[in-house]
Formats: sequence, C-alpha cells, structure tokens
Amino acid sequence: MIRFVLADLRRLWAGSLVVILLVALATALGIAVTLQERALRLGSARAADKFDLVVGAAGSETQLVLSAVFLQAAPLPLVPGKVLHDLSADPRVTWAAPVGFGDSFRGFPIIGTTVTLIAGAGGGIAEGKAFDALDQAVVGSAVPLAIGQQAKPMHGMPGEGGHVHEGLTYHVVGRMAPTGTPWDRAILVPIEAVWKLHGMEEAEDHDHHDADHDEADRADHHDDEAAPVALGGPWSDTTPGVPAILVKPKTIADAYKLRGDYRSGSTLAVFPGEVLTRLYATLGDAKAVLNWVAIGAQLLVAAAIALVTIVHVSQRRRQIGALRAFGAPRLAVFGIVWIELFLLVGIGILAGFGLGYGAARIMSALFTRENGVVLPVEFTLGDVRLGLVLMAVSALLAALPAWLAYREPPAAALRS
Amino acid sequence: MALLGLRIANVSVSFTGLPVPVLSLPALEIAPGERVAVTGPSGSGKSTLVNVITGLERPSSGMVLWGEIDIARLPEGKRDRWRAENIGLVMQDFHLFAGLSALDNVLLPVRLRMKGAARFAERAHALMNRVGLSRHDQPVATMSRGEMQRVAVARALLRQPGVVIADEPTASLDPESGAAVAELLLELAVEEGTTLLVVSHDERLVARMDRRIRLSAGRVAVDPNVEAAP
Repeated sequence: MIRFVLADLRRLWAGSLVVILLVALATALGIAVTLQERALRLGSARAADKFDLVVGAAGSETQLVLSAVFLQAAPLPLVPGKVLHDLSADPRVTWAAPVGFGDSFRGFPIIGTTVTLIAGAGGGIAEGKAFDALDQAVVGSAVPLAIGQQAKPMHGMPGEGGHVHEGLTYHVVGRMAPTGTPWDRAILVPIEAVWKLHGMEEAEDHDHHDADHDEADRADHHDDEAAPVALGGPWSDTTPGVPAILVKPKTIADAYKLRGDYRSGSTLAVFPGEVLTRLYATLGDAKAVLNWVAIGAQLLVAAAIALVTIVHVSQRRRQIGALRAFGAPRLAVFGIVWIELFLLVGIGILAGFGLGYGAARIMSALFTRENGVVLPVEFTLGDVRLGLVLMAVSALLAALPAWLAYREPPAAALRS
Repeated sequence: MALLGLRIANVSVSFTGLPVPVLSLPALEIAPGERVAVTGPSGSGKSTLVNVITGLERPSSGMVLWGEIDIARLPEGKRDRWRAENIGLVMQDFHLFAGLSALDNVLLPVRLRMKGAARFAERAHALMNRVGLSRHDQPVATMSRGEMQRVAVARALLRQPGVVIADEPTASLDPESGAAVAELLLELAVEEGTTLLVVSHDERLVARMDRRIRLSAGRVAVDPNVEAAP
C-alpha cells in the first residue's frame, strides 16, 4: 500500500509539493511568531538580569531602561553628579556605576563608565586588562577591534551622522567575555573621558594644563603614560551629571528601599524587570494580533487544502473504482487516500516547524547583530503538544475524503 | 479455482428517475467453461450486466448465482472479497496505475488484500512471460497500449479466477494488438480453465466465441441457447 501511495505521490509530485509548501508556510508563520516572541522575552529578560536597579533623572522609565540596559541611545536628561556620589557612599549599595552615552565608533556605542561595569555589565576581562587611563578602552566581544587598535569617537548616537572628536583617540587595552547582551557591542571607556570630550569636566579637579598637554600630545604621537587623572571616583558634589547610574544593591530589601528613596523629585529609580514586564504586556498584545493573522492564514490554507482534496478525490473516482473492481478491499482504498493526504499534511507540518524555527533563528541572529541581545530560539513542551494536536487534526481531516472514497460504490466510480 | 457457471433469475436493475429498468433478465445461464460473447448497441445494458455479474453493482431484484453463491445477497465487503477471488476483470481502459512497474501492477490487487502476496510473485512472472512481456519491471507509462492490455490480462489471471470477464478488451487497441489480445484471452481461458465472458463489438473476437448473446434495451434480444429452447 505504501509503495502504491509513494508511486502515486511521485506521479503527482508537483501538486503534492504545492500542498506540502502551503501547509509548511502556514505552520511556519504561526511557529515563527510564537518562537520569536518567546525568544524576545527570554533574551531581553536575560540581558536585563544583571541590572538590579537603574537610577536616572525624572523622565520615561521605559526609555531609561532601554538606554541604560539595552544601550538604545536616546538623549536622556542628566542626573547630578551628587546622586552618583551619594549612591557610591550608600552602605546599602555594593556598587554604583555611571553610564554615559553620546559617542559611537562605526556604529558601536561608546559607553563612559568605571571599571566596575566591565564585570558588572559585561562578561569581565577575557583578554588584556581594564582601562586605567583616559585614552584606554575595553571592548565587548562583538566589537571588531583587536587589542592595540584605536577608535576615534564619533559624536552622536550609533546610526546617526556626526562629527569625529579630534581631541581623543581610544586605545583598546582589553576585551570582555561574551554575555549575549547589548554590552557585547559596547566600547567601555572611562566616564571621565566622555565628560572631557563633551566639556563637562569637574571645575576644580585635575588641572586643565594636564588635559591640554594630553590633547597636544595625542595629536602628534601616542603616549601611553598620558592621562594621570584618577579614574572611577571618588565622586563629589561637583562631579558632572550622567544620564544613568546602574546600581547593585546589597540585598533585595535594600533594592526596594533604594528604589523608594530615589523615586521622588528629580530622580527616577526603576527595576528593569518591572519595566520589561510592562513591555511584554504590549508585546503580548502584538503577539495576539500576529497569532490571529497566523490562524487566519492557516484557516485559508486548510480551506484550500480541503478544496484541493475534494477535487483530487473526485478526479480519482475512476482510479478508486478500478482498485475496488480489481479486488482491493474497501479498507485499502480508505488507507490509500488517508495515508496520502496525511503524509502530505504531516510532512508539511513538520517542515513548517523546521521552517518556522529557521526563520526565528535567522531573525534572532539579525537582531543579535544589530543590538547584541542574544535571543534564544527554543521549543517548549507546549510546542510539541501543539504539533501533536495539529497532527491529530490533520489525521481526522484526512479521514473525511478517505471515508468518502470508502463509501464510493465502485460501479458508479468507474462510470464517471 | 474451479470453473464457475452463472445462473441469473429475475434480475432487474432500475435507476431512480428512469421509467424502464436498464437491465431486465428473467433467466440467463452460462455453463462452466463456456466462452460467451455479449454484444449490443451502446445503452443496451452491457455494462450494467458486467457490473451485476461481477458484483460491482447490486441488482434491484433477482438472484445472481455463481456456482452456489448468490452474490446479489452478499454484503459489500464480502462481494469485494468474492470478486477478488473468483473474477478476473479486463477492461477497455486497462486501469493500470501509472508510476508502478508492469509487475507491480499485476501484483497490486493481491498486495492490497495483504494476504501473503509474495507467494504470487512467481506466478506473476510466469503469466507475464506467457502474455509475451519480457521486461517485467518496465514502468507501465512507457508501454504501448497493446502491452498495457497484456499486463491487464496477466493481472486478471493472477489469482486463477473461475471466470474471466472482459469489457471491450480490444476496443482501444489497433487491429493487430487487438487480435493478439483476443487470441491470448481465448487461449488462456482454455489453459487456465476459466469461464470467459466478453463484451465486445470486435467481430473477429465475437465470431470465435462459443455463444453470442445480443442485448437490446436491457433485454436479451438474441441468445442461441434460448432460441433453441422453445
């Protein structure tokens, strides 16, 4: 029977292929939406995992998290340096690190911060060393710069036009281990360098002479012993403002207290997880819409297949009649029609799962290249169950034309 | 399989919407081993007769006795099995299945019955040689029409049926191939010991049969056995 079915499918290979493709595409659409949405949720949650508390100036919570955690550049209002000072001195805080944006290099964001974040946000030093001078940089694992290479900061957010800062060239001294977060695409530099480039240096700190000397020096030749500034604090009241401060509280209770303390007045403190949960709700709505689109497409395909099946079976009435006339049992006729259809639809569904998975993987890879966030595309038990349900439904649907063939009187079928 | 004789009594086939039955046979007998031709214009009930005596169609009333079995009373599944075991069918359109080889076509009905089909393989090869086919694994799609009908003849004889029924076996063949197939049918009916009933317009084939029945408007118009009787 299988041999007959295969011979039949080979004979009608073009039509069979179209049916398989239709089913596969419809299935893939639904699978890709499900997988991609899940990957986005998992990936963003993992990327935000390391960041317990983000403090910024009063404004949009979502924007603060997107900028500080996902490095989606946007002009943020600055929090005064005093806040950084206070947080660093707070006994409830393990560490507090500033995050300063504004520059980029070939589309990779340059983040001004302290060495704390190399391990606190990035994957820690994998190669080389941490920066200890104004003109040194540590790059994320996805940044195509080798140790010893230079990066001239371009003013402006990644993707925007802007001018090159002539004043300073960063020398890559270290590379971080990959984390699967946007920080893999970051170039970390001392926050002091960012302040200096943007003319925000502390009034009385480090003498200007030094800086001038620095710049003059840099213009002519490399000078690795330059930048005798103290990096990474201690901060003071006169410390310049920063767009965001990442805070690692000592305990969960401390985290809640800190959030309460810094939520009033001119500052804003958020748990990234909280903001993401809100974003997921929005994402969920979008997914629901996409799901309905996918279901619509699947219904259309189901209808098309039903039509094709009915036409197919009525065209095969003679063949079915002949099979019976030459002695095939009715059950064999049922089996042939059922196996043939179930095979087509089943292969289509399996191919659709593969296709949807592949599409989600490709989309995730593109997303990772753009944003650094690794989106884990994975099947869950629920997907397996969905696959089984789809298989069962198609088995039932295939039984309908098979039953029609079973019921067909052979004489009438032969006459047609 | 033993030779089978046919006895029909009061058979009538009516279709809803038609005032007169398409087939009405008060009595018809075919002796075991007899070679009978059925002729008649189209619409005379030849195909309906074939359907009724092969069990493809149940008559509205009457008895269709093959040997001791009234196939008109058998339920559908049993009729299918009886037909598979007792009747070899050859049709005008061959009804071979493209995509399968000649051998697979011959074996298809027994394979679909799934009763140790392997033991028929040897007989299938022998029959194919007998009907003059040497390339048993040739795809039927690449065969000439004459060769296709030979495959169909081999398929009809595979299970050593008691009766072979051929519906216009030569009508879609060129005269030469038709003559060869007609010759094969006549010879094999004797060799294999089967009753042979042929529906045909082919004068050369009809002329060589033992008995010629002519149907007209669903009734037997000419039957030498019946004319001799009264």
